[in-house]
Amino acid sequence: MAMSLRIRIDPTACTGHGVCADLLPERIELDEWGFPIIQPEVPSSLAAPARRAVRACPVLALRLQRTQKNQREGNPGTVTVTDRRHHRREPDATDGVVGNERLTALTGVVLLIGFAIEGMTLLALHRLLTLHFFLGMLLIGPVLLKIGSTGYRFARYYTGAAPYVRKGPPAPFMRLLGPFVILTSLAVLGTGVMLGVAGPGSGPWLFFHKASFVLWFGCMTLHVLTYVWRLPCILLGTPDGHGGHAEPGVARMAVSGGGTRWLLVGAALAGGLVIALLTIHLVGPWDGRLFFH
Amino acid sequence: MSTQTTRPLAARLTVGWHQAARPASLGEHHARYGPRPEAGRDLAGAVAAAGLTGRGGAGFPTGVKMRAVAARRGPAVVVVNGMESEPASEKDQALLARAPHLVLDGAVLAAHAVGAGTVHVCLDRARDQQITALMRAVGERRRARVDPVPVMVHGLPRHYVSSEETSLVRWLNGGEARPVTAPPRPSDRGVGRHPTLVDNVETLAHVALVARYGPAWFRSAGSSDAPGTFLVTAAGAVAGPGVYEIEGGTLVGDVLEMSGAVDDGFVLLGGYGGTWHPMREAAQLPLTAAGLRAAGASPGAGLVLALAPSSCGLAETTRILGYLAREGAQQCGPCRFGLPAIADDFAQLAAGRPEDGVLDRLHRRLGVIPGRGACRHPDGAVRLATSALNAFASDVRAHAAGHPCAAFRRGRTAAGLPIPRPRAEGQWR
Repeated sequence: MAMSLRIRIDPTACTGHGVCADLLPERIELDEWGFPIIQPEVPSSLAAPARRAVRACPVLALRLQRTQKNQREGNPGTVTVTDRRHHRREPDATDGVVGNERLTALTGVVLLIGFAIEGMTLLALHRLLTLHFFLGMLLIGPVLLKIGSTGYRFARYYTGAAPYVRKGPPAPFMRLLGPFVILTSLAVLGTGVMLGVAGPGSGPWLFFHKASFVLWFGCMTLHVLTYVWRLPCILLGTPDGHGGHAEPGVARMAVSGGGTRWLLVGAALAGGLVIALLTIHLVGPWDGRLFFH
Repeated sequence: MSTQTTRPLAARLTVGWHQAARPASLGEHHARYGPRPEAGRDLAGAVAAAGLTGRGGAGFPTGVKMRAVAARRGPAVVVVNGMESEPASEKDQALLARAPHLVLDGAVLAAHAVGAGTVHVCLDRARDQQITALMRAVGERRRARVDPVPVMVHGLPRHYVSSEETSLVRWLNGGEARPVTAPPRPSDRGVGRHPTLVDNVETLAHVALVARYGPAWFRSAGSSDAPGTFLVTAAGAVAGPGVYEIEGGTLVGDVLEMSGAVDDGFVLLGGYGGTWHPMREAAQLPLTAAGLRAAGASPGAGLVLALAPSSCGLAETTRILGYLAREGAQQCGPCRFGLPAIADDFAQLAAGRPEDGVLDRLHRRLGVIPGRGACRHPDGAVRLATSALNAFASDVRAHAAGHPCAAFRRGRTAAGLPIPRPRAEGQWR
C-alpha cells in the first residue's frame, strides 16, 4: 500500500484565476485561455506548496486527495480519500483574498448600521448627546478593524503577494478615494475624542469636529454608494460580476475562516465598548449645553 | 471475435413495428410480450449474466450499475433517460414511439430490483408528441394498476449535454440540466441525495426482456463480447436512413449495406463525438465497443453516418464542431474556450485560407483539451477533430496549402448531417 497525494480539480468551479500555477508551477501550468493543466500526482517533496495552492484557490476548485494504491490485487483502480484537512482553513483566515474581502464587508455592515444610528442622534442631539458620544466611542473599534483589513490588502498587494496582485487594486476612483475615507474617519473620531477630553468652551475642536464631519460625509456617501450594492454578493459568496464568475447561480462560495471573521468583528466591538465605557464620564460637562447654533 | 451470427437483422425490441405507426397500447404490448413478470430481487444478477451494456453511448455494464445502486443504503430512484440529444440519432425516439410499455416495464422492474420508490422519465421538452404518448402510456398503466411505484414524466430543456446523467439528476433536483463534476456519482448520491440508477430507454427495454426470458435467451443473439441486439441509426448519404435492430457483432459494412450507403467514401461512427473512417476500412469491423476499440472508435449510441461523396469532410466536420462548441454547458474553461477555438481553426482550414501555423496550433489545442471537463463533451469534440485530420489527411494538406477541394468550392454540401438550429441561450431549467 503506497500513499500519495493527487490534485483534483472541479472544472465547473474553476474560473481561471491562475493562482495555483503561480504556487505550484512544478505540477500546474496554464493553457492559452488561463485554465490550469494539472499533473495530478504530487510527490511528498511538493506536498507543502500543493497544499498552499489548494488553499489559495479563490473559488476552492482544487482538492487534495490521498490515494492508496492497492498493489496486492495489482488493481490500477485507486481508493481515494478526500483529505478534508486542507479545506478547513487554519485561523489565519485573512490571508485569503476572499476572506479579507468578506471581513472588510462584514465590518462595513457593522459601521453602516452604527453610523446610521449615530446620524439619527444628530436630529435630536441635545437629548441624545450621551448616546452620540457613547456610540462614537464604540465605533472606534470597528473603524480601526476596517482600516486594518483594507490596510492588510494594501500591504499584501504592494509586497507582491500573488493572490492579492491577481485580485488587483480597487477601481481607480475608489483607489484615489480610499485614503480620504480613512483620513476623514480618523479626523471625525479624533476631534470627537478631543471634544470629550478638552471639555466645552475650549479651543477649536467643535469647529474641527463639524468640519471634518462634512468632509467625511461627502467621502463616505461616495464610498457607501459604490460598495453597498456588492455587500450581499460578497457576504453570501454569490457571484457579483467582479469575481470573474461566468453567471449567477453557480455555487455558493464557502470561504473558511468565517468563525475568525466574526471573532474579529466581535473583538472590535468589545474593544470599542471598553473605550466607550471608560470615557462615558467625559460627556458630563457637555450635558444640557446648547452647541448647535 | 467469436460466434458470429449470419443473420444481421433481428427483431426483439422492434417486433411488430412495421404493422404499427403508433405506440403499442398496454393490451397490444401484453399480447406481444406477455404480462410483466413478477419482479425478482435477483434481476441485477440476471442482467449481469446476460451481459447487457448501457445503450446510451458509454456501454457500461448495466448489471454492475444496478448492483451498485442496490447495495447503497436507503431508498433509491430510477431515472429513465430518453433525451436522445445526439442530433442524428433516432433509435430512442423510434422505440418510445412504438413500444413505450416495454421501456416502462424495464424501468419498473429495475426500480424493484434496486429498491427504488420512484421512476422519473426524462424526455426532450421540444418533443411534444413523445411526451403526450408517454403520459398516455403512464396513465394507462396507472388505471390498470400494473405498477407498484409511481412513474413521472418530465420534459427537460434540449441541449447536447443535457442528456448526460448528472445533468438529469441536477435538473430533477431543481437545478439546471447541465453536467456536474463526479464524484459523487448518481449511483452513490443522485436525485434527492438518494442512490440513483440512470439508464437509457433502450437499455431498460432490454432489461424488461431479460426479466421475461432470462439471460441465456438474451445471449442467444449477438456475439460473446456484444450479446443481445442493438438499435442503430443509419443516416447521412444512405438510401434507407432510419433505425435498424442488429445483432451484436454485426459488421459496420452490413449496416452500411442494409441502409443502402451509396459509395465507398467515409463514415462517421458513434455520433458527433465519434470518429471518421474510410468506409472500406470500417466495413470489416464489428459495430461493437470491443470490435472498434483497436481503430480508436466506438459505436456510441449506435450511429453510422455516411458522408455524401460530393461532400467535403473538413467542411462537414467544421459544421459539427461549431455545433458542439455552441452546445457546451459553458461551465468548464477548456471546453468553453477550447471548442470554439478548434472550431475556428477548422473553419479556416476548410475554407482554404488558414493563418500561418494553424495546423500546429490546432494539434497543440487538441492535445490539451481532453479530460479536463466535468463531462466528456470536450473529449468527444476533440476525438471528432483528430479523426477528421487523420481520415481526411490528403484534404487537410490541400486545404492548408490554400487549395480547398471541389466539394467545398461548390458550396453547401449535398446530404449534410443534421445540425439543430441554435436555441436561445440560458434555457437550462
